[in-house]
Amino acid sequence: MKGSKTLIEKFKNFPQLSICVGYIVMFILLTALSEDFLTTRNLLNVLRQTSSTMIVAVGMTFVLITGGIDLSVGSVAALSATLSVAFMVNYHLPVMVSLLLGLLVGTVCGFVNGVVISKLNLPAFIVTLAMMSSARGAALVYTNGKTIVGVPDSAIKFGQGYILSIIPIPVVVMTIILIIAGIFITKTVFSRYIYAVGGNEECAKLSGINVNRVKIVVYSLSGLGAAIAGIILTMRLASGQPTLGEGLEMDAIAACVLGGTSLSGGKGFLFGTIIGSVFLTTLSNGLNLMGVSSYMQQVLKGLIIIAAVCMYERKKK
Amino acid sequence: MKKKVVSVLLVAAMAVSMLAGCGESTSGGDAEETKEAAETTEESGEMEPEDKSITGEEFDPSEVYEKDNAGIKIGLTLMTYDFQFFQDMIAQAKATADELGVELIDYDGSNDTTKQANAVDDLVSQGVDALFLNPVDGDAIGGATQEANGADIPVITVDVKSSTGKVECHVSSDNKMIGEEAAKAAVELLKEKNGSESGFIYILGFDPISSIYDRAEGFIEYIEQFPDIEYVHEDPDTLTSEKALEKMEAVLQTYGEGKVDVVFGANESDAIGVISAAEAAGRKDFKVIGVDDSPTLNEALADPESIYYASVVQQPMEMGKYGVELCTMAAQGMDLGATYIATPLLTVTKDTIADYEKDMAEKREALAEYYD
Repeated sequence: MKGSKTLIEKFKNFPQLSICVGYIVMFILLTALSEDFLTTRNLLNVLRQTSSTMIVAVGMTFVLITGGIDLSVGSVAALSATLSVAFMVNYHLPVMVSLLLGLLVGTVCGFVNGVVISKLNLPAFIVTLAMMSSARGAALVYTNGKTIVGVPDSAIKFGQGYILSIIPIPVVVMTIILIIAGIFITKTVFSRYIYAVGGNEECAKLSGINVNRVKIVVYSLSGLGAAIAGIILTMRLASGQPTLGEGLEMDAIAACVLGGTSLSGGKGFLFGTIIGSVFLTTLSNGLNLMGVSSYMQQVLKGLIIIAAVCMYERKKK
Repeated sequence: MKKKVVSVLLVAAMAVSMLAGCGESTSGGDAEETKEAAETTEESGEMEPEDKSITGEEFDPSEVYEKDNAGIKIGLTLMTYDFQFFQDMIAQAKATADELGVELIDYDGSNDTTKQANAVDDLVSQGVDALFLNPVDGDAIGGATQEANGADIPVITVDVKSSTGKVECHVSSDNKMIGEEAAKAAVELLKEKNGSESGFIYILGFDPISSIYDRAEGFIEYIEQFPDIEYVHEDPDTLTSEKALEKMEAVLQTYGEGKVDVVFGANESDAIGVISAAEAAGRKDFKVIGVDDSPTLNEALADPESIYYASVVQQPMEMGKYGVELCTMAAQGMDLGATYIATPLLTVTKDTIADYEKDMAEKREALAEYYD
């Protein structure tokens, strides 16, 4: 009896309880309201739609745990993806090399964010806001605002292709990233440092953690995540679009917040981010299936985010 | 105790939904079928029937009105709902859908290529019988078009064409022709002002959107026949009146009084930005030519004080109507009779605006119930 009691206590204290319950309720409602919702095709469709936001949100979770924020992810996604496409199309580099260079561009953008934030001790909001503007600008300058077309088919499959002719490749990429991130956050000492920095930076410093290094790594990872997401989106759209990923940062932050990650640092859950991200995509997919206008969807999204945050705050007390 | 029961129930619900989810994803027959279908359409796509272009007058959909169209679901997504142009298109599309007795599901593309591609996937999931696509970007929608092809859903594109995948029929006004019509009006203005085909024209376009890119190109191709006409072509940062205004303010700084003769704003927001910037700066030394009608543009056109001189007007209502008719015909398996339908154009100037406005007011009045 005692054992079951602690289990239930644990369950009640499980931070994502409300969002999980919310998700299940929504899932059941959508299944009841739309006959097109619970089909393999649609569920895989939801997963594919969520993959890019989820990948960005994973990096964002780490950043938020350190008490930072990364507003530049959408722009970094656009810059790394357009450059990656440019390497293939304009410079005729092999697809794999171009993709790796694209990932490098994203990581470097994140690295720069991290260095400026930690070494110059500037607010992350401002630094990444500046990167958001510069990276978007750079993508627009490089492409002259035009879409780059002519992406080779072997690259397009990263956005449009299927494995075993049913599982979309973006979903596979997302799953691999989630597994790596899961191992990273549960098994490595470094992930403890991330929490420590967000919990109390002074304490972390005094206990011998190289705070600057932690921050630089975290922002670099966020940049890398943005680049992966950007490339997936770009290959889905089969063209290098400098305007790609506008609002991606907000979607990612919303997913993290829905999952219980705190914007004030020290607290964050990979599992919460996964649920948060799937929640938002399922919501918009379901509302789309029910024919709710996109204006109304934005209103609902906002209300749900506020409601979720209220619940987390109440739980804290 | 009560709470305990609730939690146990919740655990059970979770477990059940997980099991349901698993069962669902292993069955997987659906998606495999559609994938096979994708392969077959790709093959047949190579033997496409030859392209046939017709004008709006030659298009005859009368037969589809005689059929029983009940139960047909058409999915529609427009680039954005932000302009009068798209509001007219969707209102007429809804009216036509009602007239035909088909169900119309519409999504706002919100000028976002990713969002629109997702919306098309959702429509495909819903098993619509035909798709009416007005893509934000013709290249970016390609993947979604192929998804629809894979699910054997016929695709009709309107205004902007999907660059890959199989499109049964495309409906648009020819954007290059729009540019050309605008250029003709601009050259007339130059002749009036400078006595010959000479002067300076500033063109504000937006290259990332192919329809607007084509307009600027058509415009430039026409004026390039005249060696004494100089021009500069630029884009605002994003396609909004605010950004067009910002751009034009800079242009007014660069080119002082009397240096510019005509400005061409290649879409509604460009033209509005140009006019607002000129008004704010008190400049009246040039004339503006725009595309499309909108309350703001028409007001400027009707105002004798305004520098706005002419609009090349498309017929979005015709596009909406043809699009829905073609979708229904395709869903019925009928022959569409063409692979491209060009909708007619109209140049409205300060002299003809009053008549044009009266005509449109009557049309919109008739569709009143379909505007949101």
